[in-house]
Amino acid sequence: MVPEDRKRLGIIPLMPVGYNMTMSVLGRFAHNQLINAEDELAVIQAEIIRMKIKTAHPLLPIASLSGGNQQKAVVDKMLLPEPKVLILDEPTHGVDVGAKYEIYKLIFELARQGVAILMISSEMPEILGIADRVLVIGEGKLRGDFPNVALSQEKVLAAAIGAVENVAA
Amino acid sequence: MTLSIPTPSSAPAKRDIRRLIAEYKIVALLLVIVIIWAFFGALTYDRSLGVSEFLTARNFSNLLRQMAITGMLASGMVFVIVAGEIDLSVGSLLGLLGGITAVLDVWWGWPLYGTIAAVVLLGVAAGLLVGWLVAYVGIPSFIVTLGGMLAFRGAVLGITGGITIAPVHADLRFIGQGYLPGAIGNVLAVTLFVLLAFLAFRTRAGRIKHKLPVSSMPIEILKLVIIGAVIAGFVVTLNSYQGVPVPVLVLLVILGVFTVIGDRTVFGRRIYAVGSNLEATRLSGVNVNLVKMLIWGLMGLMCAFAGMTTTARLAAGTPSAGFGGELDAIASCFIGGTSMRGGIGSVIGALVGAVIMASLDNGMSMLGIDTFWQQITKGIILVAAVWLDIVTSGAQR
Repeated sequence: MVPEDRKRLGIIPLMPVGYNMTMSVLGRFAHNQLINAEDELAVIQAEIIRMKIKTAHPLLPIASLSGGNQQKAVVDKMLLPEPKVLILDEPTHGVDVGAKYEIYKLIFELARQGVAILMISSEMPEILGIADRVLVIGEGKLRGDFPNVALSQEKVLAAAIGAVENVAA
Repeated sequence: MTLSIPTPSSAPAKRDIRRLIAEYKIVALLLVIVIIWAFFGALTYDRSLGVSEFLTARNFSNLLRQMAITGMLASGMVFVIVAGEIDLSVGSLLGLLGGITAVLDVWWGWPLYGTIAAVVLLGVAAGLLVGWLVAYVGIPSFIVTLGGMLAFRGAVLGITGGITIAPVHADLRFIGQGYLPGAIGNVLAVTLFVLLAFLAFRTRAGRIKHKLPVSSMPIEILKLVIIGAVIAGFVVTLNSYQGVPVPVLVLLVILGVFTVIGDRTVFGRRIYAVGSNLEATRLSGVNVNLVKMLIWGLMGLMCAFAGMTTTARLAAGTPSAGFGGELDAIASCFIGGTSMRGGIGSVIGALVGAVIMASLDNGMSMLGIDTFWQQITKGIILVAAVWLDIVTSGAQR
C-alpha cells in the first residue's frame, strides 16, 4: 500500500533514499541477519535508474529529495515485494508534473503485468485517465459504479452530488 | 549509523558545516576528550616528578575501568533511545542482577559458569518482560521503566535482606578486577587490526565490483594506519600498567558486536527505522512490536553484564549497587550524539560519551573538587551536548 500522508506514513525521513526503498525486502540481502551491503546497493542503484529517481547519491537522506522523488521511492518500496494487489492512496498528492507522469506510466505498466491496482484519488482527470472502473464513494456510501467507457466528469460528479440530494430527501 | 556521503557542492556553505559536524560527530567528540585530558593533564602536572598524575597509564586504566559499567548500560541504552523510547530501570535492574550474582556465588556456592548463565537468562527475561509491556501491552516506556526502577530496587532489598553479601569467589572477582596478561593483549590487538584491515579491503573490493565510489588507496591506508596507531597506543599504555582490564575487554567486545548489529543487520536497520518513523516502518511490513521487545532483551543482557561486573569489582553484592546508573547511561548516550527524537545514535558515540563523563569525574576528584561541583558540571555538560545536537541537526528536518 502506498499511503496518502507521505510525510507521516510513507517515508522514514532520517534514512537514506536507498534504505527506504529496501525496507520492505531487507531479508533478501541478509544471511543470518547480516546484510550484504554490496548486494543491497546494487539493487538500490538499479531501482533508482528504473524509477528515474533524481538523487545525487543513493544514500542521501530521503528528506532532502523533492516530494515527487520521495513518492517514487515510497512506491518502489511497495513494488519490491512484487505484490499482486497494490493500493495507491492519492499517489500523486503533492507531486510535481514530471513525477506524476512517471507514476502514471508505472501504473499502466504494472496493470499490463497483471497487478490489480486500487487507486484512491480526488482528482477527476487522473481517475478518468487511468481507471478501468470507477467507484464513487461519498459519506461512507457507494454512490456510483461505472465502467470507464465514455465516462465524463459530469457523470461522476452527478453521482456524487445526486446521491447527496437523495440522502437529504 | 556511519555512512560516508559526499556533500553536494551546490549546497550552501553553512549547511556543509552542519553536515560535516553531524557526519564527523565522533571526531568532534574525540577532540572534546583530548581537550578535557589536556586540561586535567596540565592541572595535575607535578613539577618535582615531571609527569601529570592524570596522564599516567595507571590513571588511564582506572578511568576505563570506571566507565566500563556505565559503558555496558549505555551500549544497550543507545538502541532504546534510537528506537524513540527510554529506560529508567537499568540502574535498579543492574542492582538486582548484581545482588542475584552475589547470592548465587556466596550463599549458594554455584560455580562461575552456572552463575553467569543464570544471571544472563534472568537479565534477558526481565528485559523482554519490560519490552513486552511497552511494545505489546502499549504502556509508555517511561512509566513501565519508572515502575521497574522501583520494583527491581525493591526486589534486590528483599533478596539480599538489605545487607552486603561478601566475599565472592576469586574467579568471579577476576571478571571485575582482573587484567589480561600483556602477551594475550598484544595478540588480540594484532588479530583485531588484521581483521579490520581485511574487512576494509573486502568492502572496498565489493564496492569496486559494483562500480560504487571508493576513497583513494592512500586515504584507505591512512585510515588503517590511524586505526592501527590507536589500537597499539591503547594496548601498549595499558600493558605498561597491568594489562587490559577484563571489564574493558568485555566492553570492547560488546562495542564490536553492537556496532555490527546496528550497522549491518536487518534488526539494526529496523531499530533506526522504528525510531525515525514508527508508522511508516510498520506499513513497510516490519513487525515493529517485536523489534521493540528484542531491543529490551538486549538491554536486559547488558544489565546482566553490568550487574555481574559491579558485584565482581566490589567483591560483594550491595543492595545499593547501580543506584543512579540509568542516568549516567542516558547522559552518556546524549553526550555521544544520540538524538532524543530517535533514529540517530551510535554505540561508539555513547561509549565516547561515557569516557567524557568518566574523565570529568576522575579528573575533578583528582583535583579535590567537591562532589557537588562535579555534579553541577556534569549537568551543564549534558544540557550543552543536547543543545549542540539540536543546533547541528535542526536545519535538516
